[in-house]
Amino acid sequence: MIELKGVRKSYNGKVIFEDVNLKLEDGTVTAFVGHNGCGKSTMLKVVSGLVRKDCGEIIYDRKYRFAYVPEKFPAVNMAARAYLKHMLAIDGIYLKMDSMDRINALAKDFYVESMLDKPMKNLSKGTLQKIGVMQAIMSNPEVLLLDEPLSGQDIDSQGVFIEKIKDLKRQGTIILLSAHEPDIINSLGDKVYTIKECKISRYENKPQTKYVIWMPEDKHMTPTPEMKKAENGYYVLSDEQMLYLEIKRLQKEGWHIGKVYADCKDN
Amino acid sequence: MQIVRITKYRLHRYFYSSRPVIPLIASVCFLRVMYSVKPMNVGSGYIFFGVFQFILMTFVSLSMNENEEIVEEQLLLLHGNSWGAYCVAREITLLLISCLYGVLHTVGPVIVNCFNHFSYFTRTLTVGDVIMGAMIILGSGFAGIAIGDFLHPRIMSDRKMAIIVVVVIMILSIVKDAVIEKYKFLMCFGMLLPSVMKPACDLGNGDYFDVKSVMAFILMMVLYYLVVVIIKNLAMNRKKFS
Repeated sequence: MIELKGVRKSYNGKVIFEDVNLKLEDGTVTAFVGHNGCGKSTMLKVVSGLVRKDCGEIIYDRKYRFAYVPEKFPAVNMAARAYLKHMLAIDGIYLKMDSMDRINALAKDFYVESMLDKPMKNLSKGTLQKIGVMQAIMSNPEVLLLDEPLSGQDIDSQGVFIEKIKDLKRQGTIILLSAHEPDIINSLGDKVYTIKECKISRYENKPQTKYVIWMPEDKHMTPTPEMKKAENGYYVLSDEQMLYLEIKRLQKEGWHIGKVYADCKDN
Repeated sequence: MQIVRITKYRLHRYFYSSRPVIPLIASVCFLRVMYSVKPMNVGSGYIFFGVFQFILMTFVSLSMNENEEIVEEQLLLLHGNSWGAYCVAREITLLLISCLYGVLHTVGPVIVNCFNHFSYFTRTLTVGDVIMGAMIILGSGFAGIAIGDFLHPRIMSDRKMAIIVVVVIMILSIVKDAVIEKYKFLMCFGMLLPSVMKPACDLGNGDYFDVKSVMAFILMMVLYYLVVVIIKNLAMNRKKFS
């Protein structure tokens, strides 16, 4: 667990945030939302020790291994595979086969297998961001800092990313997230905070509209436990932000989508 | 081991970029120009290369810290999980690069001598001369790194001013002995600068290195380097990535 007590940070005399009291527990995702420049990224860096705090206390109950997904991953002048191998070696995972397997498996998940041997300066913004995510999660960190991790990523990779983060959360990783996208905050954030007028406060989520995805009965398809029986078929409930991903996933599994409509009685 | 791995990454970054091109071309040109006149004094030849190594390493260190990507450094620091390992690896990288250029500058005269049927110099070039020459070049490299890397972007964010200050310090370091000789009251300011011309003063008009004075020179340069590196790293640690 990491505990922040009365933490304050200012830049050139301007206070960014003050009197921050937070407990970051193992296996939880703490999300920060707010407008640009409100101090979300600074908060992440203060927790990791990359940026010095003005006053207050940060108590780490043990020495943590941090990983960081920056908002804009730099295009280093080497191939992505070489960069990832170096980072794994620095992390202490230096067995050649093991590191190669990890890199290849992650690259396959994020659809960047063919890009690994290209110089990073030739990669697109989205692909670079995926490499940024890969370098952070490949060595199973104990604390993961995510600074707008989904910027520029395609929808499929966003789904993969969310699943990977959920896996890390199950393993007990402390995750700090700074993001604008409501879907990632809703699907990952256990505690959501916002920074307003230098003060940190709990962010109240507006009630989300639930959507019903109805699928007609199909002899060849077996319903999963999340599916509920409906007249002549099955249905799944989804948030507005996850709707597209959910439909894509069901279609990939082989389901035919009958209709999609807002579930008024849930609101 | 962490230090070794971070150093390997940094060396990979340096040698797979275009950054070594200018120092390498400059070294080859300097070797060509220096050894175009025959015969040459053994002592003064190595002293010239010592001063050249000082200027070259100032340039290399300055260009390396100038091109440092903050986010990349932050990632490297977090992967390394140790501020100490990160700082030491950074210094070792510069020292290894200095050694590589140093080898080129030390071995260059030997090769030139071989191609000239061992009669290039005014006297026979001995193994002792090469070792003493290597010491002078190595010591000058230490001073170059100390000065070139001191005003790191995390210490001085005004880069234009930082480059001007570094160039002025570099020039003052070369001319300081002559200036102090004329204006004795500047002696105390001279203490702040490395005595890169000390081997030249010690050698005088002679052509043989004095082992004691060369050892004193390298010791002085290592001490100077250590003091500057400690101050620099303390300042960088104090500021972190703010």
